[in-house]
Amino acid sequence: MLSSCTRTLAALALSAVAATATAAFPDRELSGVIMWGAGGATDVVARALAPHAEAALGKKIVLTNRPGGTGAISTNFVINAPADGYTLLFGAENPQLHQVLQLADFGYEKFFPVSILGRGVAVVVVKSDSPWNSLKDFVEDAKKRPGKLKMGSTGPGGLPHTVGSMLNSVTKFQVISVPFDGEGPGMTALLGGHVDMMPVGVGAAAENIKAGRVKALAVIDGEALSIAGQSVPPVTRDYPEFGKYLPWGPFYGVWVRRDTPDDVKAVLVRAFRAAAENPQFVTLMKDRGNVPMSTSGVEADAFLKKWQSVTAWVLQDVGAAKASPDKFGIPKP
Amino acid sequence: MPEAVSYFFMSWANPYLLFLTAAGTFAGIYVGAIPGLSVTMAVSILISFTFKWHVNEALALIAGIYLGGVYGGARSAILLNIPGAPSAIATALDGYPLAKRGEAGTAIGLTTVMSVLGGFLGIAALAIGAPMLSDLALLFAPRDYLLLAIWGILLVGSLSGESLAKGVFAGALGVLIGMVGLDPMTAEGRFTYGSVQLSAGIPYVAAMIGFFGVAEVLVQLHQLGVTPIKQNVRKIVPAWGLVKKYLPLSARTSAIGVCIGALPGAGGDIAALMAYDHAKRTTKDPSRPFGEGAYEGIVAPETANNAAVPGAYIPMLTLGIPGDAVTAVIIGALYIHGMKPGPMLMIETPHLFWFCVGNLVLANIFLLPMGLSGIRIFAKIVETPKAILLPLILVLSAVGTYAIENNPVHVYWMLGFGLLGYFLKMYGFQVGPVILGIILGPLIDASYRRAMISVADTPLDFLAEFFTSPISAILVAALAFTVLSQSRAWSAFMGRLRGAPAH
Amino acid sequence: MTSRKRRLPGELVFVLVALLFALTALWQSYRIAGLASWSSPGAVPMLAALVMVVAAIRIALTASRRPPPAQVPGVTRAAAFAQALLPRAVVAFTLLIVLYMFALDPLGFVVSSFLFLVAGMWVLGSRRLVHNVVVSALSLAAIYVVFQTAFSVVLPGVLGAC
Repeated sequence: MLSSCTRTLAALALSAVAATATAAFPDRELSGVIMWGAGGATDVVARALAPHAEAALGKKIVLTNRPGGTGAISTNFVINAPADGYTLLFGAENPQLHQVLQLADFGYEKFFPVSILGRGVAVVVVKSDSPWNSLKDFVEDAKKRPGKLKMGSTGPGGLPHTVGSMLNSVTKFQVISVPFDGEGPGMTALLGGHVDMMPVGVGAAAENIKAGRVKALAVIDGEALSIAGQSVPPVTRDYPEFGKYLPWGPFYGVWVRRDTPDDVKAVLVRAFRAAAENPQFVTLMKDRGNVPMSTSGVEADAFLKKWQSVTAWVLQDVGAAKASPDKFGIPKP
Repeated sequence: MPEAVSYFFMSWANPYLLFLTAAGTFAGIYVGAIPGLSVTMAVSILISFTFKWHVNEALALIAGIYLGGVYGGARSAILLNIPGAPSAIATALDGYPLAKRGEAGTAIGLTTVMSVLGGFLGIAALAIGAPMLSDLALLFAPRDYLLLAIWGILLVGSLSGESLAKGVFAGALGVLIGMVGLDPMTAEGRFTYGSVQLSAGIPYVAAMIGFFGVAEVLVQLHQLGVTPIKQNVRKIVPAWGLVKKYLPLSARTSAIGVCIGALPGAGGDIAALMAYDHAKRTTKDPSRPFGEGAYEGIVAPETANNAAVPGAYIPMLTLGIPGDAVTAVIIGALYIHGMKPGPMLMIETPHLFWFCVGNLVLANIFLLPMGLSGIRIFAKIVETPKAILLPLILVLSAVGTYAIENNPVHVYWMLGFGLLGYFLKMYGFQVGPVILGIILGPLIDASYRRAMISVADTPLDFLAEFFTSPISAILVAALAFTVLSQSRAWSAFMGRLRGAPAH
Repeated sequence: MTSRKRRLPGELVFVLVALLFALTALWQSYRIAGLASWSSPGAVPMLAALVMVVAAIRIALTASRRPPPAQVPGVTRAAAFAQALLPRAVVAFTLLIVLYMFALDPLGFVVSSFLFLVAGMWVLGSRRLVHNVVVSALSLAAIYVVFQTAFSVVLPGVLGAC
């Protein structure tokens, strides 16, 4: 009885080893972890990309949203999954600030960038029936009533928080930052008048701007941006000093654990390059106000490092960082 | 208008769309009935599947699955005391006692008819009042969500069983369980003790299956010798008189369902719990005491959760804002199919709205025969000898828990909660309040803190806003009325008014 | 249902453990953020834990006022507890569940579930072995098809060598 049991076990173990050695990646469904909640910008990008990647990989990607902790919950989940390439992280820029904000003790350096899909541009929006018609209007009002106006945010290290910090360092305005579960719920609160202003990715605001429900006061960029036939002035028009932080914006990408086997990485990079360059996906990215990129590997790592150094030091300079970027070897830009 | 009519009937006239809606509804019933398989999961899997289809075909299939799935959750709640989906938690409270009395067939028959009714009322609200309701939903501030959650937590009083103190303890325990993990607002750990498993939080489906399913299996072991109750399956379709009797109640609970469903921060699970609470508070003499198999206790949550489905479509179609997790996935699907969900959706693609309405009506019609067929076979599950049934329930619970996130740790959670639930039940604590706390705890936490942050941490301003904002003031008044009308002083007062002796 | 007069065996201990747990939870919630602000992450946990403490004190008082469980001569307290709370079937079945959980990983889902089902049915008193085996196999096949095939839930340890 016992010996037959042992034999079965041994056979099982052997066959398991044999299976891993011979099977070509991927031989089963992959799982994709989305850093932000359903309906947010990261979510839509991930769900639009996945079918193209599935076509290239020949296997399904089962997507789940794991929002929370400004992305730390998803990075923690993926870093603790096996490094076999079957668990993909569909994320945004946030983990690059996890160290300085002490949300996690690691950022994207522990992950391999399968593809940086594209970068976005942020706009500062207010409800369309609000009294402010330019960023300067809002900032002046906020200065008159310090700590009265409310800014929608997505938690420390989120896009609204970073843009708010940059604005604060330039203008010294004071607003209350109310955290929501993502850009979507934040925009909902803005539409309901529960917050007064919110910096968001263009994608999350475009349809509402088009419908005339919100107005964009400024684009966080050096040049004006045209949305739905309206020209949105650059932030530097009212505050030229803001220029030192530009260009800056959120980005989206796909990562796996860095210690994933190289051949698996290669398969993933190939598949996601095909997916990210699919015309349908490129159209969707552009429609949502993003600049398609589709870079990976060394090039992507350089992009990530540069972004991290600029942003981490901004937060450090305005006193929003909880730990100095120095501590983690993040160089000054 | 004739255009709207033609889009409304599009999926009725096209045989392929008709077939997809029917297939979706049928599949949905079983997805809903199996614990651990959720509609969200099914819909997100379908999205990559329907990627190359026309958008109408994908929407037809999804509408069927969504309505069928929300309805199907009641089935395992009634037959096994394991809610197939969180929106069926309230249904288990009276549905399972009904099955224990041999009325599983009647219970499923009644929930089917009432779900369909709730669905129709919800669709009517969607068709008539979508733009108005979605604008109303936007007005709900964080403090209003807090009030809703407090309203929901009052249900602890109804779920407590023999001792209110025990119910309150269980409810607070649930709230604490819901707090475990990284705080979504500051990313600080709460009760995580450096463990990554804990920092991801405790999945509430694992807790639900543990506290309901596993704990119930262990309690049942005390009655192994008892032969299962013979199920009465002669009368499946409820008599018209019974349906008519519950029409007023179901109209009110459907309204609760649509409104909660339309709120972007609350879905069918909360709608069903609040409807149950409403039924318990307003029903003067229920068919049986609540918790022991009252028909009202299954009618209310089942109408509400099906009415919440069209409710969730309201902000999705009018504003591009998801009403719950499933509509969030549908929004993703619309993007991928080249649509642009948002406030322009109804202006740029008005046909989509009427297509969705027509489709939901169709799926709801299919629900009736599909739900009513096969009940006889299902009711037999309860008649299976316990020695066979209990191990099977356990395996199903384990697979269902594992399936949520493919995580074996969740299965250990499930077992741990099952054992805890067993001892709680043996010592007269109810597990209902624990689940209530797990569901409402995070909503209370986030809404309270958002509301407090919005007034810069000044408690006086915080309190003042409950009376200065119209919606909050209405909610406060309704809440106060609910609490007061239950108190002895109130019934004494009303008694004096009527000239009858109060007790 | 307030008619139950006597305490259940072990009830007082259970209630005291619950109180102790509530106190620990209160202290742990305080440690999250102290009394830093009205909107701190620790605010709601502290409130919930405080409610638990109050409720637990009340439950403990009620329980302590009740007469102790009926003493049957010759039956020790431990035996009375075991009889009321942990009858043989509960202990045996719980042990089986724990074994099943540990077996899931090394044996895989199909084998461990099959063994658990057959053993579980036997332990609970269904002595028709062939019948048990057939029912277990059929139900597992159904679960396998639904979860793994239709819903791409990757069950641990696929069919493989079995």
